[in-house]
Amino acid sequence: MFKILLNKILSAKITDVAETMVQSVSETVPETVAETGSAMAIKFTTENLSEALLWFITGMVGVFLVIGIIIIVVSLLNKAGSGKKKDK
Amino acid sequence: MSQQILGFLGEFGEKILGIFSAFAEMSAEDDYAIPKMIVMCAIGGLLIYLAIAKDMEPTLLLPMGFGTILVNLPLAFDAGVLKPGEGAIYILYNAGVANELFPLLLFIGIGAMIDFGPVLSNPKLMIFGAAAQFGIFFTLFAASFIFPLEEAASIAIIGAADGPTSIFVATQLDSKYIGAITVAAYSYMALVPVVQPPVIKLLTTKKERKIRMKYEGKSVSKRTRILFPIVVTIIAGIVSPQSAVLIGFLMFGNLIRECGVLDSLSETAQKVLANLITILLGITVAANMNAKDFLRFETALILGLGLVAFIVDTAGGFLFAKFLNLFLPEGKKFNPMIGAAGISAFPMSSRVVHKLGLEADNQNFLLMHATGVNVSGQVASVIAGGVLLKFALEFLGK
Repeated sequence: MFKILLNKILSAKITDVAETMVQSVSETVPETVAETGSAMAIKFTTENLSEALLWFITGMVGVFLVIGIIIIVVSLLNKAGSGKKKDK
Repeated sequence: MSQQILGFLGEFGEKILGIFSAFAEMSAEDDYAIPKMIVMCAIGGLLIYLAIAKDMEPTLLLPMGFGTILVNLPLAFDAGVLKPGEGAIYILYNAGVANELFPLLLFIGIGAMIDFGPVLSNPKLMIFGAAAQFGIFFTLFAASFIFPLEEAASIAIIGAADGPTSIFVATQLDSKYIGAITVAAYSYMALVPVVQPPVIKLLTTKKERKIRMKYEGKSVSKRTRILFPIVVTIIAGIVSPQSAVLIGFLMFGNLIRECGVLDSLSETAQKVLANLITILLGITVAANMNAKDFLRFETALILGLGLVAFIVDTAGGFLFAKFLNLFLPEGKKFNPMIGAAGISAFPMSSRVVHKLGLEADNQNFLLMHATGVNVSGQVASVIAGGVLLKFALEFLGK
């Protein structure tokens, strides 16, 4: 495998090398899976990309939103309590 | 007499033969069954070693380590350790982990332990708690390239740096990787002093680490301390209903602490309840540490993604502080390191930040600010868990 890769690096385009790497990985993975008995085939997919990106953005906005509301409420509580007796 | 000895030897021989035939049966099903179990027992031993010798989260890693050995004894399965419906660990798992009871009860104890005073006196620090959840969502995005979205969400929650939240979310989403997720969550929490400093040093200058922050030490009224857990529960319950139960149990524990009339309950929640649940949780979570479920390539991936989540959380917190500093005048700037404490691993993260502050300048005391951010991270991570759960459950149509 390394010999093939080396030859490719020396003689061919970078895209060919990438293809060879992908090919050699896909040849190796099923063997490993069979050896370990693991049923899940690890594959790289962009199928959920848009959904994940949506969760990423709305999730962060959601967390900031909730924390922002809590900050406002706590500040108001502090202001309301500032005239009262305080304890440490 | 000699007949008795012969009888005993015969029985003994039969037992030995029985053990060998059971081993042979297991090997017939899976060639590597025995070596895998040996590897798992070694992992259990490693967890026990890390807990005792390195003092890494011993309260959880030790029971988990022992549980790992217990569920991987070759013949113990049939003898009833994990046997569905009969095995002690199986029963405990269904009674406390599968229905999310243990993590929630543990949250009462954690809530009773946390003093929200530093963040109540300076509420704007909470924003860093939110920023430090970036790693969760980044990891979700990264994991979605390999795992189904609901599994990616379960894995991403390792970045909450909060064991009970990780277990809760993974269980709700019916994750098959709960063992690996729990190990990653607790191991990285223990490794915060190892993981965070290099990331912080890499992305901050010494000048930034030297920034001093004045601590005003404002007092907080008792009314605010009592209303805080109630108000947070209501807000979280309305805005993010999926986080209501988690935040509710956390805040219930805190209300017991702050109300001033339930000192004995508060003490029980902090010590007896938290300890009892931790013992049971640790050994029960090990139900998922059997060789078949744990020794997979995915486990290594999950451990790697968990590390990514912790690193990006850390970076997210202090990069956000650096961003805010762009708009603040000299003297009002934040020490960006306090953002890293938003990771929620309480109290290790705030200690790490404080120590790094002192390293840069021996008069730079950041502990109170970092603690404020750290407890905010606890709240923010639970909210992030709720948000993630909402998305995933909707996605699954539940």
